[in-house]
Amino acid sequence: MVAASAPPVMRNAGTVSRRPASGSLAEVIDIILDKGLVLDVYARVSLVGIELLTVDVRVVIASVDTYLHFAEATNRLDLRGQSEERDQDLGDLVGGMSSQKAEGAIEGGVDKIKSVFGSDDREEQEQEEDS
Amino acid sequence: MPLLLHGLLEASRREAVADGSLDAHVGGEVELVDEGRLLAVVTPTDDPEVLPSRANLMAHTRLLEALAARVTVAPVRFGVVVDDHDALTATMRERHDHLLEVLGRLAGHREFRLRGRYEQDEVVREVLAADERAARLKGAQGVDARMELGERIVAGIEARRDTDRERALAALDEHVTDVAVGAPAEPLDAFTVSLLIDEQRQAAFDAALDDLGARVAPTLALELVGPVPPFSFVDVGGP
Repeated sequence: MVAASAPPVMRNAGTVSRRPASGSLAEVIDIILDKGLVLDVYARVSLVGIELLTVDVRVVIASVDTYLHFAEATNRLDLRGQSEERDQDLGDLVGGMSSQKAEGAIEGGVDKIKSVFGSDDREEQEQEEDS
Repeated sequence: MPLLLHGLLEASRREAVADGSLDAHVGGEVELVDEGRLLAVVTPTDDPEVLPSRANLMAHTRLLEALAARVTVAPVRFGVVVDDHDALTATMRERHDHLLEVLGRLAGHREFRLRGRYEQDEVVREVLAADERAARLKGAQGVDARMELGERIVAGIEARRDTDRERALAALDEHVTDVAVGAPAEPLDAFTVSLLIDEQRQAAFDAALDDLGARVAPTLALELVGPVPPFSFVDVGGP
Protein backbone atom coordinates (compact mmCIF):
# COMPACT_ATOMS: atom_id res chain seq x y z
CA MET A 1 0.00 0.00 0.00
CA VAL A 2 1.26 3.44 -0.89
CA ALA A 3 -1.47 5.35 0.91
CA ALA A 4 0.65 6.74 3.75
CA SER A 5 3.53 8.27 1.81
CA ALA A 6 3.32 11.87 0.68
CA PRO A 7 3.99 12.50 -2.99
CA PRO A 8 7.72 13.31 -3.40
CA VAL A 9 6.98 16.51 -5.29
CA MET A 10 5.73 18.09 -2.05
CA ARG A 11 9.19 17.92 -0.52
CA ASN A 12 11.23 19.08 -3.49
CA ALA A 13 9.13 21.96 -4.64
CA GLY A 14 10.03 24.18 -1.68
CA THR A 15 13.65 24.60 -2.61
CA VAL A 16 14.73 27.24 -5.07
CA SER A 17 16.65 25.71 -7.93
CA ARG A 18 19.79 27.67 -8.74
CA ARG A 19 21.90 27.53 -11.85
CA PRO A 20 25.19 29.38 -12.20
CA ALA A 21 24.97 30.67 -15.77
CA SER A 22 23.12 30.59 -19.01
CA GLY A 23 23.62 27.08 -20.32
CA SER A 24 21.14 26.34 -23.04
CA LEU A 25 20.64 28.22 -26.25
CA ALA A 26 17.00 28.84 -25.44
CA GLU A 27 18.03 30.40 -22.14
CA VAL A 28 20.64 32.57 -23.83
CA ILE A 29 18.11 33.80 -26.35
CA ASP A 30 15.68 34.59 -23.60
CA ILE A 31 18.20 36.42 -21.46
CA ILE A 32 20.26 38.38 -23.96
CA LEU A 33 18.80 38.47 -27.42
CA ASP A 34 17.07 41.81 -27.49
CA LYS A 35 18.74 43.34 -24.46
CA GLY A 36 21.86 45.36 -23.88
CA LEU A 37 23.27 48.69 -24.96
CA VAL A 38 22.38 49.95 -28.40
CA LEU A 39 24.90 52.62 -29.35
CA ASP A 40 22.91 54.31 -32.03
CA VAL A 41 25.21 57.15 -32.99
CA TYR A 42 27.60 55.58 -35.45
CA ALA A 43 26.76 51.99 -34.68
CA ARG A 44 24.04 49.86 -36.19
CA VAL A 45 22.28 46.68 -35.27
CA SER A 46 23.13 44.46 -38.17
CA LEU A 47 21.01 41.43 -37.65
CA VAL A 48 18.61 39.92 -40.09
CA GLY A 49 15.35 38.47 -38.88
CA ILE A 50 16.16 38.74 -35.20
CA GLU A 51 12.99 40.61 -34.25
CA LEU A 52 10.84 37.87 -35.71
CA LEU A 53 12.68 35.26 -33.73
CA THR A 54 12.31 37.07 -30.40
CA VAL A 55 8.60 37.49 -30.95
CA ASP A 56 8.36 33.83 -31.81
CA VAL A 57 10.12 32.76 -28.63
CA ARG A 58 8.34 35.10 -26.26
CA VAL A 59 4.69 34.83 -27.07
CA VAL A 60 2.58 32.73 -24.77
CA ILE A 61 0.70 30.45 -27.05
CA ALA A 62 -2.83 30.23 -25.70
CA SER A 63 -4.13 28.12 -28.54
CA VAL A 64 -6.73 25.44 -28.95
CA ASP A 65 -3.99 22.92 -28.15
CA THR A 66 -3.21 24.69 -24.90
CA TYR A 67 -6.86 24.71 -23.86
CA LEU A 68 -7.31 21.05 -24.67
CA HIS A 69 -4.11 20.22 -22.84
CA PHE A 70 -5.35 21.92 -19.68
CA ALA A 71 -8.81 20.40 -20.04
CA GLU A 72 -7.24 16.97 -20.25
CA ALA A 73 -4.95 17.66 -17.30
CA THR A 74 -7.90 18.92 -15.29
CA ASN A 75 -10.09 15.97 -16.15
CA ARG A 76 -7.40 13.53 -15.12
CA LEU A 77 -6.78 15.37 -11.89
CA ASP A 78 -8.34 13.84 -8.84
CA LEU A 79 -9.42 16.38 -6.27
CA ARG A 80 -8.06 16.27 -2.74
CA GLY A 81 -10.13 14.62 -0.07
CA GLN A 82 -10.88 11.57 -2.17
CA SER A 83 -9.22 8.20 -1.84
CA GLU A 84 -5.53 8.82 -1.23
CA GLU A 85 -4.57 5.71 -3.06
CA ARG A 86 -6.48 6.69 -6.16
CA ASP A 87 -5.07 10.17 -5.85
CA GLN A 88 -1.56 8.78 -5.86
CA ASP A 89 -2.19 6.54 -8.85
CA LEU A 90 -3.87 9.23 -10.85
CA GLY A 91 -1.20 11.71 -9.80
CA ASP A 92 1.44 9.40 -11.22
CA LEU A 93 -0.53 9.04 -14.40
CA VAL A 94 -0.99 12.77 -14.82
CA GLY A 95 2.64 13.39 -13.90
CA GLY A 96 3.82 10.93 -16.51
CA MET A 97 1.58 12.27 -19.22
CA SER A 98 2.23 15.91 -18.58
CA SER A 99 5.98 15.48 -18.44
CA GLN A 100 5.83 13.62 -21.76
CA LYS A 101 3.85 16.45 -23.21
CA ALA A 102 6.18 19.07 -21.82
CA GLU A 103 9.19 17.29 -23.27
CA GLY A 104 7.52 17.21 -26.64
CA ALA A 105 6.78 20.90 -26.44
CA ILE A 106 10.29 21.81 -25.37
CA GLU A 107 11.86 19.68 -28.05
CA GLY A 108 9.59 21.32 -30.56
CA GLY A 109 10.79 24.72 -29.39
CA VAL A 110 14.43 23.75 -29.54
CA ASP A 111 14.02 22.30 -33.01
CA LYS A 112 12.51 25.53 -34.12
CA ILE A 113 15.38 27.51 -32.68
CA LYS A 114 17.87 25.12 -34.20
CA SER A 115 16.33 25.53 -37.60
CA VAL A 116 16.99 29.26 -37.36
CA PHE A 117 20.36 28.94 -35.68
CA GLY A 118 21.29 25.65 -37.23
CA SER A 119 23.62 26.94 -39.90
CA ASP A 120 26.76 26.49 -37.85
CA ASP A 121 25.90 23.98 -35.16
CA ARG A 122 28.74 21.80 -36.29
CA GLU A 123 31.19 24.65 -36.32
CA GLU A 124 30.48 25.28 -32.68
CA GLN A 125 30.74 21.66 -31.71
CA GLU A 126 34.18 21.63 -33.26
CA GLN A 127 35.09 24.75 -31.34
CA GLU A 128 33.97 23.17 -28.12
CA GLU A 129 36.02 20.08 -28.80
CA ASP A 130 39.06 22.22 -29.54
CA SER A 131 38.89 24.21 -26.34
CA MET B 1 37.36 46.40 -40.98
CA PRO B 2 33.91 46.47 -39.29
CA LEU B 3 33.93 45.80 -35.55
CA LEU B 4 31.39 43.80 -33.57
CA LEU B 5 30.83 45.39 -30.16
CA HIS B 6 30.57 43.26 -27.04
CA GLY B 7 30.86 45.46 -24.00
CA LEU B 8 32.14 48.64 -22.41
CA LEU B 9 34.03 49.14 -19.20
CA GLU B 10 36.10 51.75 -17.44
CA ALA B 11 39.50 52.19 -19.05
CA SER B 12 41.11 52.02 -15.60
CA ARG B 13 40.23 48.31 -15.54
CA ARG B 14 42.21 47.49 -18.70
CA GLU B 15 44.76 45.44 -16.73
CA ALA B 16 42.07 43.07 -15.52
CA VAL B 17 41.03 42.07 -19.05
CA ALA B 18 44.13 42.60 -21.21
CA ASP B 19 45.88 39.26 -20.62
CA GLY B 20 44.72 37.74 -23.91
CA SER B 21 42.64 35.07 -22.19
CA LEU B 22 39.42 36.46 -23.63
CA ASP B 23 40.33 35.29 -27.14
CA ALA B 24 39.38 31.71 -26.31
CA HIS B 25 35.74 32.70 -25.80
CA VAL B 26 35.29 34.02 -29.32
CA GLY B 27 37.70 31.78 -31.21
CA GLY B 28 39.50 34.85 -32.54
CA GLU B 29 41.21 38.02 -31.47
CA VAL B 30 39.50 40.29 -28.95
CA GLU B 31 40.47 43.93 -29.30
CA LEU B 32 40.39 46.62 -26.63
CA VAL B 33 39.75 50.18 -27.81
CA ASP B 34 40.27 53.23 -25.56
CA GLU B 35 38.40 56.48 -25.70
CA GLY B 36 38.56 58.87 -22.75
CA ARG B 37 37.80 56.91 -19.59
CA LEU B 38 36.04 54.15 -21.55
CA LEU B 39 37.30 50.89 -22.94
CA ALA B 40 35.38 48.98 -25.61
CA VAL B 41 35.72 45.22 -26.08
CA VAL B 42 35.27 44.33 -29.76
CA THR B 43 36.07 41.67 -32.32
CA PRO B 44 36.92 42.47 -35.95
CA THR B 45 34.34 40.98 -38.30
CA ASP B 46 34.35 40.76 -42.08
CA ASP B 47 30.66 39.91 -41.92
CA PRO B 48 28.79 43.15 -42.65
CA GLU B 49 25.53 41.54 -41.54
CA VAL B 50 26.29 39.59 -38.38
CA LEU B 51 24.74 36.18 -38.69
CA PRO B 52 22.46 35.53 -35.73
CA SER B 53 23.99 32.10 -35.56
CA ARG B 54 24.29 29.89 -32.56
CA ALA B 55 28.10 30.17 -32.52
CA ASN B 56 28.07 33.97 -32.77
CA LEU B 57 25.44 34.36 -30.08
CA MET B 58 27.18 31.97 -27.68
CA ALA B 59 30.58 33.62 -28.28
CA HIS B 60 29.10 37.04 -27.43
CA THR B 61 27.50 35.61 -24.30
CA ARG B 62 30.55 33.73 -23.08
CA LEU B 63 32.84 36.68 -23.65
CA LEU B 64 30.54 38.93 -21.62
CA GLU B 65 30.20 36.33 -18.86
CA ALA B 66 33.99 36.16 -18.64
CA LEU B 67 34.23 39.96 -18.53
CA ALA B 68 31.47 40.32 -15.95
CA ALA B 69 33.26 37.84 -13.70
CA ARG B 70 36.26 40.20 -13.55
CA VAL B 71 35.03 43.77 -13.97
CA THR B 72 31.93 45.93 -14.17
CA VAL B 73 30.85 45.71 -17.79
CA ALA B 74 27.98 47.25 -19.72
CA PRO B 75 26.92 44.57 -22.22
CA VAL B 76 26.16 45.69 -25.76
CA ARG B 77 23.19 44.17 -27.54
CA PHE B 78 24.16 41.24 -29.73
CA GLY B 79 24.78 42.31 -33.33
CA VAL B 80 25.85 45.93 -32.91
CA VAL B 81 28.50 46.77 -35.50
CA VAL B 82 30.56 49.88 -36.30
CA ASP B 83 32.31 50.42 -39.62
CA ASP B 84 35.80 51.01 -38.24
CA HIS B 85 37.84 52.26 -35.30
CA ASP B 86 37.04 55.92 -36.01
CA ALA B 87 33.31 55.27 -35.92
CA LEU B 88 33.76 53.38 -32.67
CA THR B 89 35.71 56.10 -30.88
CA ALA B 90 33.30 58.74 -32.20
CA THR B 91 30.40 56.74 -30.74
CA MET B 92 32.21 56.37 -27.43
CA ARG B 93 32.95 60.11 -27.31
CA GLU B 94 29.35 60.96 -28.03
CA ARG B 95 28.04 58.72 -25.22
CA HIS B 96 31.06 59.06 -22.93
CA ASP B 97 29.52 60.58 -19.79
CA HIS B 98 26.29 58.65 -20.07
CA LEU B 99 28.13 55.35 -20.36
CA LEU B 100 30.32 56.18 -17.36
CA GLU B 101 27.15 56.88 -15.42
CA VAL B 102 25.71 53.50 -16.43
CA LEU B 103 28.92 51.77 -15.37
CA GLY B 104 28.87 53.62 -12.06
CA ARG B 105 25.33 52.42 -11.42
CA LEU B 106 26.26 48.81 -12.21
CA ALA B 107 29.45 48.78 -10.12
CA GLY B 108 29.38 46.12 -7.42
CA HIS B 109 26.16 44.63 -8.78
CA ARG B 110 25.22 41.39 -10.48
CA GLU B 111 22.17 40.46 -12.52
CA PHE B 112 20.09 37.38 -11.82
CA ARG B 113 17.07 35.99 -13.58
CA LEU B 114 14.29 34.74 -11.33
CA ARG B 115 11.58 32.60 -12.82
CA GLY B 116 8.44 31.34 -11.12
CA ARG B 117 6.71 28.35 -12.60
CA TYR B 118 3.39 26.87 -11.57
CA GLU B 119 3.18 23.20 -10.74
CA GLN B 120 0.40 22.12 -13.04
CA ASP B 121 -1.66 19.94 -10.69
CA GLU B 122 -1.44 22.39 -7.81
CA VAL B 123 -2.40 25.45 -9.80
CA VAL B 124 -5.23 23.65 -11.58
CA ARG B 125 -6.61 22.57 -8.20
CA GLU B 126 -6.52 26.15 -6.98
CA VAL B 127 -8.19 27.50 -10.10
CA LEU B 128 -10.93 24.90 -9.80
CA ALA B 129 -11.47 25.80 -6.15
CA ALA B 130 -12.02 29.44 -7.12
CA ASP B 131 -14.03 28.92 -10.30
CA GLU B 132 -17.34 27.08 -9.85
CA ARG B 133 -18.09 26.99 -13.53
CA ALA B 134 -14.72 25.33 -14.26
CA ALA B 135 -15.28 22.87 -11.41
CA ARG B 136 -18.65 21.93 -12.95
CA LEU B 137 -17.09 21.49 -16.38
CA LYS B 138 -14.47 19.12 -15.04
CA GLY B 139 -15.07 15.68 -16.44
CA ALA B 140 -17.23 16.82 -19.35
CA GLN B 141 -16.32 15.12 -22.61
CA GLY B 142 -17.75 17.34 -25.37
CA VAL B 143 -15.26 19.39 -27.36
CA ASP B 144 -17.03 22.66 -26.50
CA ALA B 145 -17.04 21.85 -22.80
CA ARG B 146 -13.39 20.84 -22.84
CA MET B 147 -12.46 23.99 -24.72
CA GLU B 148 -14.30 26.11 -22.19
CA LEU B 149 -12.74 24.26 -19.29
CA GLY B 150 -9.24 24.65 -20.72
CA GLU B 151 -9.86 28.30 -21.46
CA ARG B 152 -11.06 28.92 -17.91
CA ILE B 153 -8.02 27.17 -16.43
CA VAL B 154 -5.66 29.21 -18.60
CA ALA B 155 -7.54 32.40 -17.72
CA GLY B 156 -7.42 31.49 -14.04
CA ILE B 157 -3.66 31.05 -14.22
CA GLU B 158 -3.29 34.29 -16.15
CA ALA B 159 -5.35 36.16 -13.59
CA ARG B 160 -3.02 35.36 -10.72
CA ARG B 161 0.32 36.02 -12.44
CA ASP B 162 0.55 39.71 -11.56
CA THR B 163 -0.35 39.10 -7.93
CA ASP B 164 2.15 36.27 -7.56
CA ARG B 165 4.89 38.34 -9.20
CA GLU B 166 4.26 41.40 -7.07
CA ARG B 167 4.12 39.31 -3.91
CA ALA B 168 7.47 37.73 -4.79
CA LEU B 169 9.06 41.08 -5.59
CA ALA B 170 7.74 42.59 -2.37
CA ALA B 171 9.36 39.79 -0.39
CA LEU B 172 12.73 40.45 -2.03
CA ASP B 173 12.44 44.20 -2.38
CA GLU B 174 14.83 45.35 0.33
CA HIS B 175 17.67 43.25 -1.15
CA VAL B 176 17.19 44.23 -4.77
CA THR B 177 18.58 47.39 -6.39
CA ASP B 178 16.57 47.25 -9.61
CA VAL B 179 13.96 45.07 -11.31
CA ALA B 180 13.08 44.46 -14.95
CA VAL B 181 9.87 42.51 -15.53
CA GLY B 182 9.85 40.15 -18.48
CA ALA B 183 6.98 38.50 -20.29
CA PRO B 184 5.94 34.95 -19.45
CA ALA B 185 6.72 32.57 -22.31
CA GLU B 186 4.67 29.50 -21.48
CA PRO B 187 1.22 28.90 -20.02
CA LEU B 188 2.66 27.58 -16.74
CA ASP B 189 5.14 30.45 -16.33
CA ALA B 190 4.13 32.63 -13.41
CA PHE B 191 6.71 35.35 -13.94
CA THR B 192 10.16 36.11 -15.21
CA VAL B 193 12.04 39.00 -13.64
CA SER B 194 15.60 40.24 -13.94
CA LEU B 195 17.05 41.45 -10.66
CA LEU B 196 20.04 43.68 -10.06
CA ILE B 197 21.64 42.62 -6.79
CA ASP B 198 24.29 44.48 -4.80
CA GLU B 199 27.10 42.01 -4.06
CA GLN B 200 27.03 43.17 -0.44
CA ARG B 201 23.42 42.05 -0.18
CA GLN B 202 23.83 38.71 -1.93
CA ALA B 203 23.66 36.59 1.24
CA ALA B 204 20.60 38.43 2.55
CA PHE B 205 18.95 38.13 -0.85
CA ASP B 206 19.64 34.38 -0.99
CA ALA B 207 18.14 33.87 2.45
CA ALA B 208 15.03 35.89 1.57
CA LEU B 209 14.70 33.93 -1.67
CA ASP B 210 14.85 30.60 0.17
CA ASP B 211 12.13 31.80 2.55
CA LEU B 212 10.02 32.88 -0.38
CA GLY B 213 10.58 29.57 -2.16
CA ALA B 214 9.38 27.64 0.86
CA ARG B 215 6.35 29.90 1.23
CA VAL B 216 5.10 29.66 -2.35
CA ALA B 217 5.67 25.91 -2.69
CA PRO B 218 4.18 23.64 -3.84
CA THR B 219 2.06 25.79 -6.18
CA LEU B 220 4.98 27.83 -7.40
CA ALA B 221 8.53 26.60 -8.06
CA LEU B 222 11.29 29.21 -8.20
CA GLU B 223 14.39 29.08 -10.33
CA LEU B 224 17.32 31.48 -10.12
CA VAL B 225 19.74 31.75 -13.03
CA GLY B 226 22.92 33.71 -12.82
CA PRO B 227 24.88 35.75 -12.32
CA VAL B 228 24.52 36.87 -15.91
CA PRO B 229 26.00 40.05 -17.46
CA PRO B 230 23.68 42.97 -16.62
CA PHE B 231 21.90 42.97 -19.98
CA SER B 232 18.62 44.11 -18.49
CA PHE B 233 19.96 47.21 -16.75
CA VAL B 234 21.88 49.15 -19.37
CA ASP B 235 19.02 50.71 -21.27
CA VAL B 236 20.07 54.16 -22.36
CA GLY B 237 17.16 54.85 -24.62
CA GLY B 238 18.15 53.11 -27.83
CA PRO B 239 15.85 52.93 -30.85
